[in-house]
Amino acid sequence: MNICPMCSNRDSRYFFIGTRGEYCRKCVMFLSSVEAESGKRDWNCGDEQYLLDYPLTVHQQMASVQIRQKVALGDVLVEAVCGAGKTELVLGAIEDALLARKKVGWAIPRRQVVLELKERLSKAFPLLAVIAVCQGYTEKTDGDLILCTTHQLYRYRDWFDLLILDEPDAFPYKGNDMLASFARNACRGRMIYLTATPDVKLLCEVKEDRMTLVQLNARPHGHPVIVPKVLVMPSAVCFFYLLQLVRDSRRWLIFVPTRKIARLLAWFLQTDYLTSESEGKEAIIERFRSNEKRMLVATTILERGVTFEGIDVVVLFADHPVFDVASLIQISGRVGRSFLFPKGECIFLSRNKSLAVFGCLKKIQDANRSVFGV
Amino acid sequence: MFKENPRCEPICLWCLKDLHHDATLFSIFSENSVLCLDCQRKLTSKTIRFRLDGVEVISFYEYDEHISKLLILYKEHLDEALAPMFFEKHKKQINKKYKGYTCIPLPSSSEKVAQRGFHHLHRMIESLDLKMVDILVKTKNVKQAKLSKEERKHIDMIFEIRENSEFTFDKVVLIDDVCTTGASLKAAFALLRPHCKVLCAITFAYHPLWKTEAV
Repeated sequence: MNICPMCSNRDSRYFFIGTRGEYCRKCVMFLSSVEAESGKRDWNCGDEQYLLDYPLTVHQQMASVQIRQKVALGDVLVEAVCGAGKTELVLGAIEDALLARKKVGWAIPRRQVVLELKERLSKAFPLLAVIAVCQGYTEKTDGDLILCTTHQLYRYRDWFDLLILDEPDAFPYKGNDMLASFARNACRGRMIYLTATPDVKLLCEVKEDRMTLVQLNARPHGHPVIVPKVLVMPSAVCFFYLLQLVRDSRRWLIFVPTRKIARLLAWFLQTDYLTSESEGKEAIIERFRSNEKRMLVATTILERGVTFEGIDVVVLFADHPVFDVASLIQISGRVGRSFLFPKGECIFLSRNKSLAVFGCLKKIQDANRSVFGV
Repeated sequence: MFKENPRCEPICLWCLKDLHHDATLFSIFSENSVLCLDCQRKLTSKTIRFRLDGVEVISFYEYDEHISKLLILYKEHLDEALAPMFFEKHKKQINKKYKGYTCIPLPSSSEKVAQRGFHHLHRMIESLDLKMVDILVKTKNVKQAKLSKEERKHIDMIFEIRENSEFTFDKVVLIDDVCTTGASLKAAFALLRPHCKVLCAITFAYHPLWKTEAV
């Protein structure tokens, strides 16, 4: 049986015998552009401590110390609610690795989040060359701290001593064997998985003791995660309720299931919309963040990894199959992330009572109960 | 070639999903046996004919982002398996129309061929029933995509007829992948015209500008 060394494909239908010999068609588009090579083992830099504008809370410190200890022993899964500060939790572990002259990488499925996180990490490690590698930013691929999309991991072979895999339950990494194989090939040391919604596979590995679990269910500002309000009504009513709802002066982030609905709703509300095919995504997000536009209509592209201050969220047609439990939890996690605005409203407008909606409610309530006991 | 594996569902050459993952009642009876319906829709064929220096050129697809992606996958990432799909849809038409013609592919520089390990046009032609003669050579490795329209006009300097090949053909059809300004086709016409009676050309894709010249 043939196995592709690059993407671990075993399906013989994907192998093709050409004039250059046998190759795998599943990952052929990643091959010729860059010859992947092993990471350098000796390099100099990283004698610095990370800087944060704010101190970690007691909960965060405990988790951070736990991660630092556990990562020396094996892979770690960090399960923390949305807005708990997952990024800050692993900075300690990154610092340890850099001090030990190890190569650190941070892989994220979404390109948008890579760019966002680059800003934050550059602030935390001002003296290091933090490099973002993703579509559109591929001239420079080596730096002290590498941030990349999971697709770009093919460039790095046996490269990272510490690879942080952020949101492994997000599209397109979720369920993609090729990307999982890229990640495995890129990492020669330890992995840290960061997520609010670990999937069955990761939890299974924890159960079988191949990974340690670190949990953090409290947000740094001490307020519980906002539990979404579910309203079940017919689809036309959902639509008009939404139009009525967003007329106040609050800032609304509106999630819709499809690009078509996004375009339609944005036209009704005379505002921007963001889908995977939008042009100038950064500019659209910047306009919403700087409060130039009060509302933003988005598909699930914006469901994770982004922080806006003081927004309220509404999900139109929350029972649509594109919203699974994980993405609904992530969406409701967009609300109340900052110290200034720890509260907010999250509304699910749903046509049916779907399992995903109620699974999401249950999970958030369970997490809150484990901290606050209510 | 693929390994024989009769038990498995066939897959689409381009998107690698199951060939019939989006089949409809009509597509089951369609003849395209290498692409799924989605990919067939991506390639919308608008065949045009136009005259270039008095020579008839037939071109099948308008050059758009999908074609561009396809050609990059084929020529840059060297996914050789794609070769049969290029003329798949028009195979019968070409075989019938150009029966008895000799086909001559436009040349690539030998460095490029060595680097790729295969000549992209030769592999595309293999799926057709035409007799192929490779008599043109490219003397310099110039990447046309980087040249301006003005610069492309001087491309004729870099084609040559292979030495010590004495020949005259009755009917010749030239084959190229994309016709952008037509400069390289013109250069090849000029070289071949003294040696053959009937001359025409096929290209896989064309620049949208040629639509205005179509007859």
